[in-house]
Amino acid sequence: MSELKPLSEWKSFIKELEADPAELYAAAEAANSAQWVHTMMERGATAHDVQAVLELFAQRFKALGFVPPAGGYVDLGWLAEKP
Amino acid sequence: MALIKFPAFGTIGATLHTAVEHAKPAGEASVIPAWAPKAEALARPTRGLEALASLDLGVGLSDINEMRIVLTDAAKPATIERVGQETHRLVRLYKELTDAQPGADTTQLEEEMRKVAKGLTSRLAGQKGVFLSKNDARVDLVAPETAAKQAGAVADDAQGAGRRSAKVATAAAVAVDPITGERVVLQPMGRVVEDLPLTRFAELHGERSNRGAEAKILATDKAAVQSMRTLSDAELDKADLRKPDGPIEYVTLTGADGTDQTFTYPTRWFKKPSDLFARRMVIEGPFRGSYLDDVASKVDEASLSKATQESRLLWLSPKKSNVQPVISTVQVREAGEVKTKLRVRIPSTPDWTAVRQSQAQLAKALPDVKQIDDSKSTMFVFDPTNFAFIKKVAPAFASTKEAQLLVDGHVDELLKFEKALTPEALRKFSARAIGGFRETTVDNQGRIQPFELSSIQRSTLARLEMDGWRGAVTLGTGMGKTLVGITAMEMMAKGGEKRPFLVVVPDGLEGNFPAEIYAKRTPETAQRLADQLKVMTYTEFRRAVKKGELDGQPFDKSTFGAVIYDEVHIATDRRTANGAAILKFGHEHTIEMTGTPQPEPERLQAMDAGVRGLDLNSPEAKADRRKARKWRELLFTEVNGVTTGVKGPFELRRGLKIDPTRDMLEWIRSRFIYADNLKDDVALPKRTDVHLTLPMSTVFEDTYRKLAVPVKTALEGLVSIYRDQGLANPTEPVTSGRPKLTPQARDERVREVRKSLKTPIAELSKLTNTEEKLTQVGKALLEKMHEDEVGGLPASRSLLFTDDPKYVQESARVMSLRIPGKLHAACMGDRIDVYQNGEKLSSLGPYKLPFKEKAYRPDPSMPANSTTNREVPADQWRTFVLNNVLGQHPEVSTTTLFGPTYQTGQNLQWASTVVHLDRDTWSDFNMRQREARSLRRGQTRPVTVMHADYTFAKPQSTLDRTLDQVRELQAKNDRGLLQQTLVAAQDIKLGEGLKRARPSTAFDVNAPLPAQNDLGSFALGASPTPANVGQARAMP
Repeated sequence: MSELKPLSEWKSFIKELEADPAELYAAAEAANSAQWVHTMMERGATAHDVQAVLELFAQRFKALGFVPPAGGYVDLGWLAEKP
Repeated sequence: MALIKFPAFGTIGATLHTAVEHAKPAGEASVIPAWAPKAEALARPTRGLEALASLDLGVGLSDINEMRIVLTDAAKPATIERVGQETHRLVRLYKELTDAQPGADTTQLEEEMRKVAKGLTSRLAGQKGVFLSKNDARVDLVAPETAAKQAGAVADDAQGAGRRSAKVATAAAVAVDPITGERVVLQPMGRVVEDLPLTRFAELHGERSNRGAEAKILATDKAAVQSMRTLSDAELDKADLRKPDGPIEYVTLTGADGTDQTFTYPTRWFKKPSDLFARRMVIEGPFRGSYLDDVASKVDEASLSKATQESRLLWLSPKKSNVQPVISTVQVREAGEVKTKLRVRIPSTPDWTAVRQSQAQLAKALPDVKQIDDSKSTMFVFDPTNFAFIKKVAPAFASTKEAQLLVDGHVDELLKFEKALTPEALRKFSARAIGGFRETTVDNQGRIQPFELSSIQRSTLARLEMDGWRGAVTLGTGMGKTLVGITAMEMMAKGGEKRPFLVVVPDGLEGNFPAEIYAKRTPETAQRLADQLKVMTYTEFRRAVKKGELDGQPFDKSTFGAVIYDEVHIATDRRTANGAAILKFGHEHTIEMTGTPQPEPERLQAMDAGVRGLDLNSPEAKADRRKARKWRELLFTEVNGVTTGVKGPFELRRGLKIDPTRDMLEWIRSRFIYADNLKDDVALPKRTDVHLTLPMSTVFEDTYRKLAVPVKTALEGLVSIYRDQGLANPTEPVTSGRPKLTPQARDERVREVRKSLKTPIAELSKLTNTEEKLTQVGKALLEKMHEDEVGGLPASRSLLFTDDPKYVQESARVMSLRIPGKLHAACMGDRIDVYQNGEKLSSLGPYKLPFKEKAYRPDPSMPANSTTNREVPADQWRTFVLNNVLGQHPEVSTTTLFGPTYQTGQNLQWASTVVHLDRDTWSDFNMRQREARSLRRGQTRPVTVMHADYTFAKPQSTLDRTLDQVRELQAKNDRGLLQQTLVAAQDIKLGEGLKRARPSTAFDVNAPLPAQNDLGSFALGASPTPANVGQARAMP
């Protein structure tokens, strides 16, 4: 995550992680942090960009029936339920 | 006090041993020279180191005429009163005995005298500061061997006089140094303040005085009667006194021994146009046309003049006539209320000119000291609170018993406050003693603890109860004012109050009291108390007061059991509608509560008036307003309408300084309940201040400066005033004379400009409320969240304050863009919006957005009930949304609040960062209030306070500051004034000053020499140095 990627790449990236739930969890924990959000914003991401990535993780966990990692910057469970 | 070796008394005998034991600390006896010898003085009856062997009447009834009573300052009024009664009774019995017909059976009379004498002697032996002395005994203070001889001689004399035993252990020890000729007095129980023949003591302090007899004599003295007369017959017949101004009141000069000595006078209240208050005028009889208090005073003076002749006062100053200042009581009618005050009459002779002039100066300076018109500076009326000042000007005086009792009563009243705060007294204010509280509570560490009221809450309740459930309460934010309020109401209800309790709160805080009741009280007691509560906003309250009705019903204070004004700092200006409404309502049980200290003197006065039911705005309160203004001018330094500090001592005349500061602090201590968070049982978590300084860009700075030009002069003046107290050279100490002020501080235009600053300041504030600032704050908050993350803590949630309503919305929007995914609330007075990623949300969980004024319940999908889903009334919607929705929702990251609506009354400990987006207020205390929404009891995390201030990138001088920086200076001034008033008052022990200065007919040996000499009095200093002994001798 050294530079801003388009959302489509994020989708692919997360899709790839499905094969290894441990990797998915690790990536979700890394992304769902104030540090990552701060970095993204510093590099020019908008609030919507950040939100979209976090929602991708949240939706993925929901689709897979996994409980998202607890804690973190935002509650992914809450984000997944968001209309 | 000097201690000198006292000769051994080993051979004097048991009685004298006892006296010396009292007198000597650590093996030495203290000896105070009380007066210097004069041949003529010594020719008077001398008193010696006399242990009164016995009042055995079988051997010396005539001793009564030779006995003297010596009072020291250790004597309590009650003891003096009691001894006065007993001596009076003894003298009366003695008179009956001596008047008895020869041969009459006086056995019963003698027996009764024995009993009384026994009681008296045992009382005097009780070491209460009252002593018995004898006229004809003396012991010279000499070298040890001579002392022994002298003492032995006295003891022999006593034996020779037939005294069979030495029963009385305590005696006043008075002696003469045969070498220096000085008379000295041992001080076993304090400083001697009165020394009178027993018969005179009985007359003065006995149960009944003899004023009637004195008045009878006075009535025959035509010159005296004429001198007292204020109105001639013709003037008396004029309309004033014929107008029915209350009924004729018949007043009897008290204490006549028999009916033939009773004088009763018809009186009416009379006030000359030039007078400050009304006094009783005698309208019939020998004293017709004279003020009653003048007559009473003349009688007292005549009486005290005799006392003076018989007391050592006259010996001390043989040159003087027997006149001296006399303090007596006087009844006056002020603002429709009859009050007893003190009156000092200073002799009109040239010897007393300096004292008269000083007292006149004092009357000009002190609001409660008033000079009687036409008295040529000889008569002054004053409150007991000012007694210490009067005494400072005239240290030697005589006073009537009534005056003494009035001051003592005032001292007792003050001491009552301290007594009410002892641990024993506070027991009745524990949660258990009051009852009805929940058993447990959660402390700030999240642990369940037994519920208890804090020591500050208990002492506050004690003070309120003692003052009849009224008072002005300033407790640091989060120290539980609301709990104090509901407990006070609970205690009043338990005491039988059935009427509703009125609670007046700022808009938006209607829910606080009910919420606190349900949170802290058991369900059954909570319901009862909540039902007795009537909550109104200040807006509703002032309208109801103005119209005299509410919802079509009369709105009258008598319908309420008490009224509590919450967050009263918004209503302490009597010129505002809210402030005026409180004063007009004037409920006898008024409790004013705030967490924002109000050290400004005018606000303190308004708060006190509100508590005491005095409508300072009414035409009748003109004198009170004048007095209040005089008080402020005396005590406080004011520059351009802003109080900058306490003045301190002032000079009445050269060498005589008066410091009214203590008086002011005693007033504050007795009237205001104040405690800051430092005094609380629970320490607050750590606070860290972060300053986000935003240097202006060149373009921005140019715009700012252009806009600031019209107020630049004023700002410089204000900076000078606030920072430097207006001094031109603030770093140089002021050694003498008036300090040099800056031109800005003197410039009247500064005052004018300050008035017109409002608009430009608003524009400057608006100019600095930029998106850039919000962006910087958003970044800082996100970094803070990151720090928390690294530290293993949940991300801190933030409260952002601004006084600009548009900036509230803008802030929430920008925060939602800078802190994505999270929720950001914008709390306005009439609505609360929630933003996410730059957009307003239309719903939040089960709630439709925005939140508006309407009834809410925790679960809108379920019917309301009284326990788990209690519906909160519409007027409590803001508290509900903040506590039950936003506070409970962990995704709400920032909450921007409109300062005037939300900076008080809300408990938002769920946030641990506070950001001041602006300083759009001139009050530092309001800034503290904002912070205290988070930094208060119950906060479990350290709190970070961020200040976002613009600064000039290129300041042109040290005074070249932005508005934000100027405001910070004002904040410092606010804190300084608080320290000098409310905080300093907490160290004052009420009544201590007056206790030391209470009146006596005595000579104050501890008074400083210069003052005594100014008065022409005769003094030795406390220490027997050759210098002051010599000085005393040199006195004619």
